[in-house]
Amino acid sequence: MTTNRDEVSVVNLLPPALAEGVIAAKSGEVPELLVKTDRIAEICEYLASSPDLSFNYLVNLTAVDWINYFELVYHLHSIRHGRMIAIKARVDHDNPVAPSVARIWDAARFQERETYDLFGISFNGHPDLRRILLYDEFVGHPLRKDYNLPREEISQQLR
Amino acid sequence: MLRGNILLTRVHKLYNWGRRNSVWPLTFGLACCAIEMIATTDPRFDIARFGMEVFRPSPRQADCLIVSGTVTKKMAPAVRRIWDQMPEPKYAVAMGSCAISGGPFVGSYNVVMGVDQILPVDIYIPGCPPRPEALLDGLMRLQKKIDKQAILFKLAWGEE
Repeated sequence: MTTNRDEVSVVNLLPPALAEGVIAAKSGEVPELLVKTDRIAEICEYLASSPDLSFNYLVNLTAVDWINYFELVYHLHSIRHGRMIAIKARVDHDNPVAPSVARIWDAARFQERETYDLFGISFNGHPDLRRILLYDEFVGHPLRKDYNLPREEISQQLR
Repeated sequence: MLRGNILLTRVHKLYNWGRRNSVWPLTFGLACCAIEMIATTDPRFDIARFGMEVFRPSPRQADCLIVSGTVTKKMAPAVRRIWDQMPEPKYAVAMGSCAISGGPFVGSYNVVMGVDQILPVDIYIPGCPPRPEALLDGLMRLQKKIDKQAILFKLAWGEE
């Protein structure tokens, strides 16, 4: 897939070194960028700090299990320019690792912990990556499509 | 002079009359049932008619734990600790389907299947969530339960 540079203005604003980290782009009310997983942090860094873009607010950070791979979704909002953008990146299902954006937006600290908790995606460079919603002894990552409730748990619930 | 000024009754009856009309619940909400519990305290439903309007922020001062909502496995140790911190005599009310049996969350990985798995429950109030009238009905049943108890004798002589 090639990037349609005329269609998506945000890609035009990226320096060439970062623009090559963009795999695909989609225009719309909320433009989408599909980026290379290992480039997430530097692209986000630029999106947050560049005065032309200044996406200073991380609205949402989550993941989707597409069976063969995970897709990370970042929704960013620029309070100065009043616009939003969605960043997506694909993560390997067997070895789910992605760079952390917690040093760019503090809000990412909890959201990356939640994504780690429920999907089991590790974020490199996160200051305190541990479970947040479930208890520490919990086994597995329940929002994965291949997660099944343990058999003894089911029989206990059907007491 | 004494005529009309003396009232004869049994001590534990008088004692229970006072207890049942001053059941102070704990300010403790877990989910949407808590919103109905809050609505119960407003003038439209007026929980103050039963002397229960004094929601205490500390379990040390509370008589009644209204478990209003879903108890998750992560929250369960905190609920049990709050219960342990309450002084006797104390009462637990399971409000809503979640607190009774896990309700709509049967099959979930992180929900306790009823708060009675972690503490003794006196009154179960069904509903999802129960309306304030239902909560009041449950609390009136709790009052009847208190009326039947002989707690003064239990405290004084260690027997029922």
